[in-house]
Amino acid sequence: MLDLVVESDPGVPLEGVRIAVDGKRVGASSATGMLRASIASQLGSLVRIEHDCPEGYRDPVEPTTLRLHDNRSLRESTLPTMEIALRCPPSKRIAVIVVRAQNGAGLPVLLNDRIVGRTNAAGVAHVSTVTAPGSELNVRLDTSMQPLLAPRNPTRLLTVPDSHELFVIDQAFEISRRARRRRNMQRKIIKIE
Amino acid sequence: MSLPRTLVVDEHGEERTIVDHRFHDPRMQVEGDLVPSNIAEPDAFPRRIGFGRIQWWHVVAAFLVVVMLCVLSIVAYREHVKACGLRAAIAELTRAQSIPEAAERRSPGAPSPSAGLGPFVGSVEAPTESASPTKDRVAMERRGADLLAANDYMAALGHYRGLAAAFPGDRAFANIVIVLESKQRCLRPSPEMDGACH
Repeated sequence: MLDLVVESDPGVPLEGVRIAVDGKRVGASSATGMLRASIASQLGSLVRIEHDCPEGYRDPVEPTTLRLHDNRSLRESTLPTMEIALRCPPSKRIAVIVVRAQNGAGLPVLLNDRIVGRTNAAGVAHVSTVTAPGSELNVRLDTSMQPLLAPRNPTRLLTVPDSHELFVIDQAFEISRRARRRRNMQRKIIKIE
Repeated sequence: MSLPRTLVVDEHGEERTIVDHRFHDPRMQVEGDLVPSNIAEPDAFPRRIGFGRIQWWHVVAAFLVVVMLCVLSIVAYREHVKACGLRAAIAELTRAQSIPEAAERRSPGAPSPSAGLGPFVGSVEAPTESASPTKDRVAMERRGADLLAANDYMAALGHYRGLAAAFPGDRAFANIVIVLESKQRCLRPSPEMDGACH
C-alpha cells in the first residue's frame, strides 16, 4: 500500500492532483492532499509515479521512482504502508518587503522603478508582490522630494527564493545641514577727505 | 556785481589750464573781483558728496533685499517639502478612514483573510478604538516591523493577523501572514511533516 501525499509547500496539502503509477491513473489527491493506492508489481522492480500539477503550480522535472522490496508488518493483520511525498511547488512566490527608514517619513517606495507604496510617519512601509522564484527585485527609496536626506535614493537588489519570503530593509537617513558659505567680500576702503 | 559763472581761462598759465572756480581754494589769492564760487554757491560741491552717500545706501539696501529674498526662498522651499509630507499624510488618512469602516461592516464571524491557510498561532491584536485611525495604524505598523526585524515571528504573526483584520484592503498584511505561517510551519514542523523547508 502506498500513501501518496501531494503538497505545494511542506505542510500545505494540494487537492485534485491526478496521479498515475506506471502510466496507469490511480486517482486524484483529496482535500488533505492524500491518495491511498495499492500497487502490484514484482519485487525489485522500479515503479514510476507521475502527477499532473494544476495551473499555477510547477510540474516536477522528473517522475518519482521507487524500487519495491519485501516489507512485512509485525502485525500480520495490517498491510505495511509507505508514504510518498509528491511536490507541486507554486509557480509564483510572495515576496513581502518591510521598510524601516529612520528619518525617512513620506518616502515613495519603488519596486522595479514603479511606485508601490510610501513610508508612513514612522518611516515604515509594507509592500508585497507575487513573482516567479529567482526573479530580482529592485527596491528604491525615492528621496528626490527630500533632498536634504542622505544617502540619496538608496537601492537594494533582492532575489526571490523558491519560497514565500520576507525582506526587512533597514535604512537610516541623515539630514544633511549645508555649510554656510562665507562670501569673501572684498571690502572697499573709501577715503573721505 | 556779476559773478563769474563757471569757467575762467587763466591767461597766466602757460599751458592754458582750464580752472573751475567752484573747486578753487578760497584761501588762494584771486585777482580782481573774482569771488570763489564755493562761497557764492555753497550747494554746488556738497551735492556731489551727498550723491555718493546715496549710492552707498543703495548698495546696502540691495544687499538686504537679496538676503531677504534668499531667506524667503529657503522658507518657501521648506514649507513646500512639509506640504508634500502633509499631502501624503492626508491621503493616508483618507484611505485609513475608509478601510476601518469596511472592516466594521464585516460580520463578526467572518473569517480573516488568512483563514484556512494553516494552524492559528499567536494572538490577534485588535486596534484600540480610542486612538485616531492613522496614529494607531502608524504605531501598529511600526510595532510589526520591529517584531520582524527582531526575528520574533511568533509575536509578529499575531500582530499582523490583527493588522490584516483591521485593514483588509491592504494586501501586504495578508501576504505577511501567509509568509509568516509558512515560516512557522518550517520552524515548528509537525511530526507527520518531513520538515523539508527551503
